Amino acid sequence: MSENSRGYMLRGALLNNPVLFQCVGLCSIIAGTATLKDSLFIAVLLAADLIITCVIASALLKKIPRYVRIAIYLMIGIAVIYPVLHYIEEKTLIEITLGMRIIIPLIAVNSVTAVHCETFAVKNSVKSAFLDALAAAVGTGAVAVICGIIREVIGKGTVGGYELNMKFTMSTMSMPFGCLVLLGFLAAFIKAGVRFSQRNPGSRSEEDGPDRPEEISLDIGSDDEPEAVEMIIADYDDIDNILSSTDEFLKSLTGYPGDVNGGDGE
Amino acid sequence: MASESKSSSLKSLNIFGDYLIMLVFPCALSVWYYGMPAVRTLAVTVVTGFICDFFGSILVYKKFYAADLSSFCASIMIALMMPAGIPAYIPVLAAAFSVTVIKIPFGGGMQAPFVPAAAGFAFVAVCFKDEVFTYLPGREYMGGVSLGSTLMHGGAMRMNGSNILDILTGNIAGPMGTGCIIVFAACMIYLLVRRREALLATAGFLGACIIFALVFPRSNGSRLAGMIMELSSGSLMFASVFLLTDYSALPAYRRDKLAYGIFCGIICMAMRKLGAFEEPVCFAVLLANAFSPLLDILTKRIMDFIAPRKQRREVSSVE
Repeated sequence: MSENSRGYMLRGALLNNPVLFQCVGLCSIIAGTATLKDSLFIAVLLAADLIITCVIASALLKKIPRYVRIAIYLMIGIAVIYPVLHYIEEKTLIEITLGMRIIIPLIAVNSVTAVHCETFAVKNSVKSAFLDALAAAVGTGAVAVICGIIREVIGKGTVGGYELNMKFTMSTMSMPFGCLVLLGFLAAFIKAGVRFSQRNPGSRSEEDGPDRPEEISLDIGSDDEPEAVEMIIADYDDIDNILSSTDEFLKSLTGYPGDVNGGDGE
Repeated sequence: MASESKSSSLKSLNIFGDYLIMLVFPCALSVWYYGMPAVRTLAVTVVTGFICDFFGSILVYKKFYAADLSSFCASIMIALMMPAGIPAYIPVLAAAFSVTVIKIPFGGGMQAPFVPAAAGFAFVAVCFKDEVFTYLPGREYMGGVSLGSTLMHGGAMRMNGSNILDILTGNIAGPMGTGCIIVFAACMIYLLVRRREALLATAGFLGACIIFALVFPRSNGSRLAGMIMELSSGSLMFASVFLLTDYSALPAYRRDKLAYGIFCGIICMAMRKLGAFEEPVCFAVLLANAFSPLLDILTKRIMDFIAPRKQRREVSSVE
């Protein structure tokens, strides 16, 4: 893997993790990762949807107006998810639960795909879009699988359906509330790890150094700042792009200057 | 900034020191009634709260102030709301949850948007409902059946001098440190002297609970006896003194404090009447915390609506 690819992977999967730091795609992760099996389904389907949609968006949809593109992402999502789902069902003979049958179609309209297509794929080459989508898919899938394992072990006392004979279980972890708390802890641990590596630069390997993209550093604040829950979004340009594109979209729809910044545009 | 956090810590010491003084008496009574199980529950909860606070502060690169007694108070409150013979891991989990999920992420006991003790108890109440609401028998009266359980099944009791004394002194089955009404009355007097403003929430809460209990009785006996049972059951009085007056979530203005207490009382009694939990006061407190900003806006609008009408009346009376 080249240095550039490694930079994409590190940024997309860990430091700019879509679920933990950009807070997109939370619905499917929270609703669908109560067990390891369900979380694997979510991870595979999200990855297929994200990678294929981003590659198509980068290759074919650059000239198409934005509001048409959004509908196309949805169609691609539906076209990708159902064949993949049927393939998995036929090949593995795994029975999908009723709850998952409600959640899976919603993956077609997940915000991870929309954000990565609109902010990156349609502005970059196919290779870059593929790498970015792959990194996001790996990051999202890893979070889904970790959540699935921890929630199943603590919430049900099993892992992958196998009984662990635990002394007690906490049913709260099987609820969406438990997943939210878990996501908060995962984000905090990654933040603490990044902070630790920044404080101990000697511990960082030299090979990560030269081609490391600029935007992978996290804004972790200084020691004197009051401790509070802060949503970390590493790449602020993405948000600006989303806001400006929404602005354009509102203008094209209504004829009035849309103001999504909620003020005088400052 | 460091001096600010130090002054905040001193303020926290001042406030939670008062609560610690008040908590001594329920702790002593729980040890008197239940002996070693109560000591063990209190000890493991407090130690867990301290350890979580210490290591949590290290994890978030924040200086640990031993003088910040918020986690200490929250741990004791959690222990007192538990039954005495509960397995040790349950209060341990509750204390760990209250400190690591509620207190530390929001910057300390004075900044938490929810009452940490209520959140910790609610967490284990959802996870371990059977264990949390199964009580050891009191020393003399009613065996292992709590007042809350009696009310939940529509039961009633005849009040006489003997059982009223048992109820007032907490000598009945229930949470190990939340039964003695006399102690909480004394705590209210202490609060009246030290922190009078905080008692507005307590007054609103108790007023709403009394009215609700009289209008919608759960027992099949007299309304007055039912109301006394409602007030004496579970952790209601304890919550009115310790959870409702928690400074982290208490609104700033007097009218908002009163509205906060009334709202919490209505929710608590509605949950008792309709809900599945024997003691839902912690859930009611958490809901009131969540609705607190909305209540502030609502009371302000009501006051703004009432004030011009008063002015118009005054003008017309002058004319």
